[in-house]
Amino acid sequence: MTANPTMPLDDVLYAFAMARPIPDPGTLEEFTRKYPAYADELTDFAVDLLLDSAIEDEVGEADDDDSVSPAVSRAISHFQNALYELEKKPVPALQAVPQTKNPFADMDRTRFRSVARGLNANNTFLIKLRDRTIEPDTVTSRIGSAKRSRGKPASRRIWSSHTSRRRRSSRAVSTSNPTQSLPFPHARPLKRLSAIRAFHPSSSAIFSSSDPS
Amino acid sequence: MPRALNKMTKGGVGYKRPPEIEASIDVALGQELDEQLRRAKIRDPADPGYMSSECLVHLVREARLSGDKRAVDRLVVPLLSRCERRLKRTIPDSRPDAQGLRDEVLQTFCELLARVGTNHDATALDLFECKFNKGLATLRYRRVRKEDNRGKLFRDIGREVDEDGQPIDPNDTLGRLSRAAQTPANQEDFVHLAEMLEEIKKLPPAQRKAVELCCLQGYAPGSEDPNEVTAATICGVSGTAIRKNLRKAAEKLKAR
Repeated sequence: MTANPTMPLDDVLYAFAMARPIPDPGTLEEFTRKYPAYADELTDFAVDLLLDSAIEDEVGEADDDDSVSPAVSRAISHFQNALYELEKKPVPALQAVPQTKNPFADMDRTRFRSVARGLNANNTFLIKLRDRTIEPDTVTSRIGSAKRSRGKPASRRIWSSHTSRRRRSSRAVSTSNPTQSLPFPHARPLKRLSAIRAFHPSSSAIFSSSDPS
Repeated sequence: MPRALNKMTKGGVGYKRPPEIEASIDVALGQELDEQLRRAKIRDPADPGYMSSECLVHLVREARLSGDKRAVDRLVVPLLSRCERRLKRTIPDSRPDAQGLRDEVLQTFCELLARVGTNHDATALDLFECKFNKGLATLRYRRVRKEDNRGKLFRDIGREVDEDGQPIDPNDTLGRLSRAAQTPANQEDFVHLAEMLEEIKKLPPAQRKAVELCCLQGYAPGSEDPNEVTAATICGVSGTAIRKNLRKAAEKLKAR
């Protein structure tokens, strides 16, 4: 197993709590090996769960009257305040995004390259387009219009549907991570990085493709 | 069929309620609010009408999702009362500012409930629909660990002496148990604690209660101060009786 420091502590604790009815040393060992950064917290929490399981619920008579304890009263008041706060500042509802078919999903390598040629684009550009790492709104009008006017009809449809979907997504989900996609002028120079050439054995083929710009 | 849970396990699978909880939710969803409320107030799990806390959480969430404010207002009271009773057991008065800690955990739970039906994340409540006590234990742990140093909060039960000044546990069996519960610095303590708790379950009720209160919850066996909450005052017996039970328990645990 490998360390997974990116998993939040709360999620690890929830997973640990759900793993066994009562935590045992084996489960604790498994989790501390998987999340060594949280080993102390997990051990501490395991003891808490153990003690918790050893403490039985108090059995008493049914609450016949509607009286509440001062602590519950305070909690109810806090609940009402929290409701009010949440209703006062509602999070804007996410606009539903029509789920269109990903035009790249069924494409094999030959078809992919053919589409790239149809758009007069190189493969790297199309890969970035496919992976939505280029903001469509930042593509210069010359390139966009070239794709719309000169490309093959099938390629033009792909360009149009994929980029329009990306635009809709950008507007609908305002919380999307802006670092995941790059404006077009910043995306282009990446093709010159020698690191990419070293990492991708087939990179020479990619870079030899014609660049429409 | 109850609404599916959204939270994912580490394997990417959604949380699943135990079948008996699913069944009890199915039954409760078909009942009128008054009947749900009657059942929610029952405190004895052995009572046939008893409603599990997991089921009660689900009903409150459903009422929130459907915008049934009347049901929310009525069902949330027994739910919070159950939380309070559980927290009283697990955050005993032997801790400094126990009431403050209990209030804060209750408030955190209330904030989670308030999020239901909004676009704020309320999936943490999924755990409460599977294992209510564990959900509460998780909230309590997160709150308490911020300031906690259990080693400072608990007395060392291994040093307790009887009226004649003799240690009630010469072999320090209870002392080690108490220290393992206080300062879980390593997994060895956890293993020891797990083994001991299994043995403690086999003790007679009075001895078990004495060990639970003194070694695991940190209460003193007794006190000369009549206002101090001790194991003796909780059990309604004398401090001598508690020490006697601790001594017997120590002998049995030593011989395990």
